[in-house]
Amino acid sequence: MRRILISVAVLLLAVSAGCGSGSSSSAGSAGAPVDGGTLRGAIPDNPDHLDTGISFAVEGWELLEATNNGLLTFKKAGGGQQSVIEPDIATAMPVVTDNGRTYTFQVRKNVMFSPPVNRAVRPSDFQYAIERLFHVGSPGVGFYTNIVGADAYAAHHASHISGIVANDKTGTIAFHLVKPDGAFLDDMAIPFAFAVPTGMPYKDISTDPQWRVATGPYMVKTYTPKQQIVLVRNPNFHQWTAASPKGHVNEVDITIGTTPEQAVNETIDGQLDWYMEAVPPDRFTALRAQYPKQTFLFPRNNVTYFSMNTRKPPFDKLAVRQAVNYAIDRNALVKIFGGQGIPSETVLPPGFGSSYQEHHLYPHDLAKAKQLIQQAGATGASVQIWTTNADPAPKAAEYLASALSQIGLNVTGVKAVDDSVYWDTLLTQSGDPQIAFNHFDQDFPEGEDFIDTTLNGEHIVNVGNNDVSNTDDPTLNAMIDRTKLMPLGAARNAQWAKIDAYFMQHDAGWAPFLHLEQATFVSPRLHGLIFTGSYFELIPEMWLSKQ
Amino acid sequence: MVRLLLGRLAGLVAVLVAISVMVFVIFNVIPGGDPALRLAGRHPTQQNIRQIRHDWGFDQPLYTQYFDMMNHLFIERDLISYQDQTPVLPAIRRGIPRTLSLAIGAALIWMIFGITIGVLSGLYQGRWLDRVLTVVALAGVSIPIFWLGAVLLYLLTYKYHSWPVFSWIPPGGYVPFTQDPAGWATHLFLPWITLAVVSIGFYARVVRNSLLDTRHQDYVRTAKAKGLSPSRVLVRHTLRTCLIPVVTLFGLDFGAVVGGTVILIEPIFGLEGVGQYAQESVAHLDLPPLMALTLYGAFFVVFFNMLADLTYLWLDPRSRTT
Repeated sequence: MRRILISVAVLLLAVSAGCGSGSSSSAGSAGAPVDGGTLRGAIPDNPDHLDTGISFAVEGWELLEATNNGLLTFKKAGGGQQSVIEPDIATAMPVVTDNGRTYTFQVRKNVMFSPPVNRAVRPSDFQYAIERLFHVGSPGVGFYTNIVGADAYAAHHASHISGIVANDKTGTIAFHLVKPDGAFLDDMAIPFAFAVPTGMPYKDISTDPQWRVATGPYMVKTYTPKQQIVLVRNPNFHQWTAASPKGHVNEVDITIGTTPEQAVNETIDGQLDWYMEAVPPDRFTALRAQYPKQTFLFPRNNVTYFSMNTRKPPFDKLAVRQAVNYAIDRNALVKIFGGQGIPSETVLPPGFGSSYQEHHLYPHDLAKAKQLIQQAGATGASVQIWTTNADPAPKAAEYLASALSQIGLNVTGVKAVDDSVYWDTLLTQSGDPQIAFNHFDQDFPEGEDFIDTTLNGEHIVNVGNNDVSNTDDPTLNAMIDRTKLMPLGAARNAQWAKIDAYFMQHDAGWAPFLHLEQATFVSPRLHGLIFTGSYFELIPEMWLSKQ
Repeated sequence: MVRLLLGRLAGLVAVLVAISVMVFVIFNVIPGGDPALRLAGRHPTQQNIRQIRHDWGFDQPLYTQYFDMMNHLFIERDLISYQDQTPVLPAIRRGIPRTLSLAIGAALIWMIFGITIGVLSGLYQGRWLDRVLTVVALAGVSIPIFWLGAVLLYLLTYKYHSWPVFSWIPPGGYVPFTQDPAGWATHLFLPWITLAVVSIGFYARVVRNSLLDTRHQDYVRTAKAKGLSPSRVLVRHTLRTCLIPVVTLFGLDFGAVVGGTVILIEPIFGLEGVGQYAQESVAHLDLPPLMALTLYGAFFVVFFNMLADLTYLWLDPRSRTT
C-alpha cells in the first residue's frame, strides 16, 4: 500500500539531530474520555480517495476506518495487538471448512447504512463490494483473486463471482477459495472488503454524497477537494460491540492544504488539534523538549533497507551481500533519519507481534565485510547506488557509498532519481539498479504481506516487480508457500520469523536497517491517541478535554 | 496595432499547442509515466491492468489520448486527476484568486520599492545612500526565496511569535478577500514580502542604471537648459524613458511569477494556490493537472509578454514606426 505515504514520509524526513527516545502506540490519556466537541484536523493534500473500493493510502484508510466497516477488523489497539483480527459486522470469526478453503460468516442484523440509504447491511452488500473492485480499476483486486470464480468474473465471463455465496435470508456469506490462505482473514479486514450498498456506481464516489454512505460512528458530511473534509456523527449508528467504538467527538473538521510547518505553528497557536502527517523531524526535538505531553513517536509497520539485485554482479554472490550487511552501521543510519526509528536487521517490523524476532546475524564489522569481499573475488568491483532524491535517502546512500568503498568495492557514484518516478522505476526489471535505497509499508499487519510480496521468487515479473532484489531461492519460496497455507496464529507467526532469519542468513538480498516511527504533535486538549500500523491514529478513539 | 494583436494571439495559441504536445509526449516516455500501473496498486493482476488501461483509454493510440485529454480540458471541461480522481478545473479555479492575490500584491510591493530605491540610488549616485541601497538591493537579489520564506515563517510565526509586534502574523494559510479583507492581507503579508524581496533588489538595480543612462541623454540636457525644474525634468523626461526596460521586464517577470515562481512560495505558506497544486501534481506525476497547469502557466507568460509589448509601444512612440 501507500505510495503516497512512502513519498510523503520519506520526503518529510529531513535530517535532524537525534531526538528523544521512547515510543508508544497509545497515548494522550487524561482521565475518562469526554464526549462532544469539534476536532480540528488538517492534512497537506487530498486523501487519495474516500471510496473503500479504491483508496489505498494511509490518509484515505484513516478516514474510512472512522466511517465504514467490514466483516472483520483489526483490533483497535496499538503495539503487537494491532495485528489481531476480530469480528466487526460479522457476529463471530468465520467458520473455516474444506481444509481452509471455505470461510463462512454470519452477518449482524442491526448494522445500518447512513443516510440517504438508511437500510440494514446485508450479506449481498459484501459480495457487491468485492465484485465492484473489478469494475472500478481498484488497486485491491489482487487481494481477492484467490476466490473461486474471480478470474472468470474479471474476464467478464460470469455475472457474479461464483465463489462468493451470499444469502440475505439467512444472513450468511461464504467465500470459497481456490487454495487455502490464512491471510484471507486480513483481506477481509481491510477497506476493500468493507460493506457498500448494492448498486453503488462503478466509479469513484469520493465526492458523491448520495453514495458516500457510512456504517461506522461517523459519516462524511462534506468533502470539497483542496478545501475541507467534515465528518459528523452517523445518526444510524449504534454500537454493536465494545470493539466497535462509538466515537467521542461530535464533528471532525479537516482542512486540506496545511503544510507540516504550518500545522506545528497552528497547533502551538491553539488553532489545530491534530495533523494527519508526521511532524517535520527538524522541529520534533525542540517540540518534544517544550511540549513533552503533546509529542509522540509511534511505531509504524514498515522497513527501510538497501535492496541488492541478485541478478547483477557483484551482488549475485551471497558473500558480497552478506558483506554489505556487515559493513553498515545501523545505528549511524538511524541517526541519519533523525533518530526516528528502530535499528533493525529484520524484514518484519516489531508491530507484527510474535512474527518479529530480532536476530543479530550482522554486527557492524568492517574487517569481516572486507574479508568476505576478498573471498568472493569482488575487490574493486564497480557499484552504482540508486536512491530517491527525497531527504534523507540521499544521505543514507552516501553513507552506504562510504561503507562500500571501505570494504573494497569501487563505488562509481550515487544516482539520485526524482521521488515521483523512483519507486515505479525500481519495480521495472529493465531499469533495475545494482543496489538501491528501498522502503516497504504494510498493506495489512501480517508476515505474508511483507515476505510473500517482496521475497517470493514465484512473483518476479518484468513490470510491477515487488521482489526488487530478484531473490528467487526455491527453499525460501517453498517455505513461504507452506506458511501461507497455515491459519493465522502463533505457529504461523513463528514460521514467518523463521523465514525472516533464513532469508537474511542464506539469501541476504536486503540490508535492512530501520523501522521508521511516526512523529506526532497534537494540541493539549486532544487525548485518546491510539496508533495502529493499518489506520494510524484511530479517529473514533480521540476525545477532547473541556478547556 | 490590430495586426500585431492578432499575430500575437495566433502565436499564443501556437505556443500552447506546442507545449501541450511536448508535455504529453514527455510524460508518456519517462519511467513511471504509466498511470495504469500506479492505479493498479502494489498487487496488480495483468487482467486488472488491462481493465484500467481500457477504462481510462490508455490503450488508445497516443494521438487519440492527446485529443481526448484536450477535449476533456477545453470542451467538456471535466478533466479529472489520475491521482485522486478529483476534477482538475475547479481546483485551478479555486487556486487562481489565491495565486493572483499573492502575485499582484508582491508585484505592487516590488514595483513601488524597486523603483523608489532605484531612483534614489540613481539620484544620489556614488554617495552613501546609493552605496547602502546598492548593498541592500544586492542582498535581496542573492537570497533564495524558498529559504527566506521558511526562515521568516519560522522566526515570525513560531520563534518570536509571542512578541506583540509579530503576534498578528498567522502561521500560514489563506483567507479570501471577500470573507475578511484584513485577514486576507495578514495571511499574505509574509508571502508578499518573501516573493517581493528578490525582485525589489533586481528592479532597483535596473532602474538605477537606466536612470543614469537617461540622465545623460541630449533631450534631458535640453530640458535642463530650457530652465525646467529638476523635479519636472525627472518626472516628465527622465523617468518615463528610464521605465521602459522596467515595463518589459515586468511583463516577463509577472507572467513567470504567476506561471511558475509561486510553486516555490505557496507550499511554504500553505496558500493552496495554483503553484501548490502544480507542486503536488509533479510529486505524484499526475498528468491531467500537470497538463492544465502547464498551459495555464504558459498562457500567463505569453499573455503578459504581449501586454508588455503593447505598453512598450505606448511608452516609446519611436517603436511604433519600426
